[in-house]
Amino acid sequence: MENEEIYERLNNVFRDVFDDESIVVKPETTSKDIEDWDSLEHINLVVAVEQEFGIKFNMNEVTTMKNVGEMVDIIKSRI
Amino acid sequence: MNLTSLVFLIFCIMALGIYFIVPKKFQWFILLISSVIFLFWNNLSVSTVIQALLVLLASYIFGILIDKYHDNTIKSKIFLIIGISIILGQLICLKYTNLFSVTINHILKLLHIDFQLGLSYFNSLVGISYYSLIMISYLVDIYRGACKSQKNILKCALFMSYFPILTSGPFIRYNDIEKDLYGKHKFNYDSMCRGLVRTIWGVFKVLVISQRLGMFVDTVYGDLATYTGFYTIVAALFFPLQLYTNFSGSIDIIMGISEIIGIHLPENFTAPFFSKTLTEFWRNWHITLGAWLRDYIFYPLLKSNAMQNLTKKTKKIFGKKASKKISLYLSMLIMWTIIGAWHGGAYTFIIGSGLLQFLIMVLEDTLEPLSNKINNKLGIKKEVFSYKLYQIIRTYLLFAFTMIFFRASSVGNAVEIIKNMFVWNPWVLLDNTSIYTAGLDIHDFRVLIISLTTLFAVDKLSRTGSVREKLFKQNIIFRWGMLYILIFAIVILGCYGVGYDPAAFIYRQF
Amino acid sequence: MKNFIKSIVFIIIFLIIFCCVFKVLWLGKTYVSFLIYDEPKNSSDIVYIGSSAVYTYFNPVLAYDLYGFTTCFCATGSQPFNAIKYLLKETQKYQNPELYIIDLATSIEDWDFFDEGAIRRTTDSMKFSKNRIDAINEILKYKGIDKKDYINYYFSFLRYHDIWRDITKENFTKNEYSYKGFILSPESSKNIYIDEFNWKDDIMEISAEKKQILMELIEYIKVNNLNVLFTIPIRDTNKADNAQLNYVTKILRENGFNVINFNTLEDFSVNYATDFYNTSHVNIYGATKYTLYLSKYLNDHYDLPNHNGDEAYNSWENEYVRFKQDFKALTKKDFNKILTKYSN
Repeated sequence: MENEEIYERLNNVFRDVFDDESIVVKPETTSKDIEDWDSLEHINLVVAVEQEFGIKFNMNEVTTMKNVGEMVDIIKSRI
Repeated sequence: MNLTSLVFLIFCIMALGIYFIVPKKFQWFILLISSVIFLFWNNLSVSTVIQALLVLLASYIFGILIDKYHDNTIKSKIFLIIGISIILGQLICLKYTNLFSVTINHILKLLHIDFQLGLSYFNSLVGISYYSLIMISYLVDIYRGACKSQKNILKCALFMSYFPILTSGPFIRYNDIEKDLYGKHKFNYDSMCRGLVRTIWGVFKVLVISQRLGMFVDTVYGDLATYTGFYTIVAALFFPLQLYTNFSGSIDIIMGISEIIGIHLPENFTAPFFSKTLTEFWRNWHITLGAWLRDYIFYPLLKSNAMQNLTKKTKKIFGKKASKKISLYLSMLIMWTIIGAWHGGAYTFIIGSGLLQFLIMVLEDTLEPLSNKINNKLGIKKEVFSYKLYQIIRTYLLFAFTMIFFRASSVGNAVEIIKNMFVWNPWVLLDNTSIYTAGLDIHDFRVLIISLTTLFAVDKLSRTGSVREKLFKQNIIFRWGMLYILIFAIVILGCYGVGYDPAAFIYRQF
Repeated sequence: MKNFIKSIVFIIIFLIIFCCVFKVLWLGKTYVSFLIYDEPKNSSDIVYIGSSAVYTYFNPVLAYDLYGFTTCFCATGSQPFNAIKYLLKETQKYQNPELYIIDLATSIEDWDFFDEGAIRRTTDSMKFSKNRIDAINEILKYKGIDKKDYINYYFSFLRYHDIWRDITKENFTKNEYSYKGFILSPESSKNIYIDEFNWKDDIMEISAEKKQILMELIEYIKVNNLNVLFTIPIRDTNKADNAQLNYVTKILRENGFNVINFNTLEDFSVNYATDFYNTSHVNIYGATKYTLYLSKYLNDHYDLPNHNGDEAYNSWENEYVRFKQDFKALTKKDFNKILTKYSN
């Protein structure tokens, strides 16, 4: 799958989880950049991404991923 | 060993001295010996040795097994479960049997059954609450592939018993500390200076502030008949500060010593009392405990199939937003009950540092949209100093309230204390005499005002960068001057040794 | 290398500040007349050790004026009797007197008499040394203090650092002794009615513990070949105490020591109505009589030098002058006239 498509689908997930239609994610995007992205929402986000792409993150990845770029790397390796 | 005792000072000097003298490849071994001495200090017995060996062997053996069968999910999972069960089992047996007995006794009483279970007190090792959870995280991390198992059992023992951590933490992760812990460290003068400064600051917080506050709190809470109303209120307001200076002071001592050795530990406190909500507070207070629970309980719970199914079911009934909240709150409830129980095997801890925290944070979360609406309607601005001040004070008061339960000897005792607060006696604060009769005299209050102001200033400053670094940038006269003031504040004003009581020196006949 | 020097300098400055701080945070010199360190080394002809009976009874500057010998006090209020052995040892490091005088007032007291103040007045006055630690160990052992509290005595600052709450001007003004440690009490307690002393011959054995302390002291004196005189102060007391003191006297005399019991002397007397400050201490008038008697006795029976006129001993003459001035200021009387009256 192309990067563009991944980021397009990821945008939808983010907008849905955080209820904010204006979100556009980039590789450098971190939890600091999105207001409601705290440790509580993190799981919801992860689960939503899992469901969107039909993949599973393992716990290690969930707790250590630092930005959207890393998330995308994992997605790409799983598809 | 008490962190501010002479014994500990001598112990550290010897341990660190030997550490930097031996050939570097033996340094970790010296740390191990020091840690074992510390662990079993004044507590060496067959039962304590068995306790320690049980956790060590469970961690070591199952760590290797999980690692070996990494590719076989079922086998590694079974080994993980067994390993965790052993460690958790010993922790529960040693720490919580009385809680179960007390609970059962209450139930028996309610059912009018004339039988009571006896309470037994187990002698557990210092640090059991820390190293048990740390070793569980070790096993889970191996399972998750975050780190490899330690094949040398002695090195594994060092990770489990690294002495600075045994009294007050912080929770360490194997991955983060492996390199430093077993590595070679050359003596570094700058590290020693920085480490010492931090340690001295910690001692200041404990001996000058915490012990002093404790004298007032102990007096007032120890005599509920005499001290009521504003005495109780002041004590309740003092206690969080007492707890903070004691805990964070101990952490400072620990971090300072570890820094001298060259092993970097994660921070546990980042000026928590400047938090605007209780939720934010817990991101700045006992950070490593929160992180442990988040990574090993909260996330797995939220992500678990059970929780996800629940979310799906409640989504159908209550809608998306509400279903997310339900799963969230349920997970939080479980997590906070565990946090409460971790603090101690008594209901006061479960309620005070667990359920009440949960309750307040849920209220903060659910009331947020409403409060925003009200603020908008009334034209109240949230970004101004006055509003932030209000939030900080509100958070402190909420925390202080929960700590009444934490400090009380029983739930009934906590309720009594709260009732005590409703006695109307404001003159106690205003008559310039009464407040000085509850364990602290006027001199002590003056010391408290100055030292708490200093603490406040340092903590506020720390939010814009390390205060130590700022200090070390200054010239030597200022640096040394500040240090001498700090040290002599401890020597003269510290609550240690035997207090001076003029009555003991009254000259009798001869 | 530079770092090592920096550390040493830091520590040295710390120690200097520490000593300065604890010169201020100190118990002070109340009920303490401990001059063996203050007097120039080896300048004392006599060292007088004991309880408050020493510095309220014997006037060393008067004695100096009369006969020219110097008496150095090593006395504290309610001095524990088993400290004396260590004080002798301590004195020998700094002074080498012809004669030691030991006051027996506390030799018969029980351990609950010696409270923390009594113990600390002695142990805290001693300079930090192994001797001081030994003294603390023995005194606290007899007192039955918990071993983990010993450290508060070894390192007095653990106790005194708390004095910061009660600092007064006195903590800062250098504590110098007046009249070489003698206490001038001009008041007389007119309400004292002291029974006639009539227990001259009663004897009561002292406890095994006290006896052991006494015997150890005797042994120390003999082994070190010290010249010692013992005194018992005149005061209002009771049959039991005196009987025990008689017993102590008997033991000492059996061991070849000279003991002067001022209660039983035929040629010494005081006026109970005017010469006492309280039931256990004489005032300046009683002290003058005591000093006249004792200093003459010392001069007659011991080979003591006469430093009168020697410039090195100027301080003694100056202190005597000051004493007379202060006496006049307090009582409006001329001390010389008192002397003349008592000398007859």
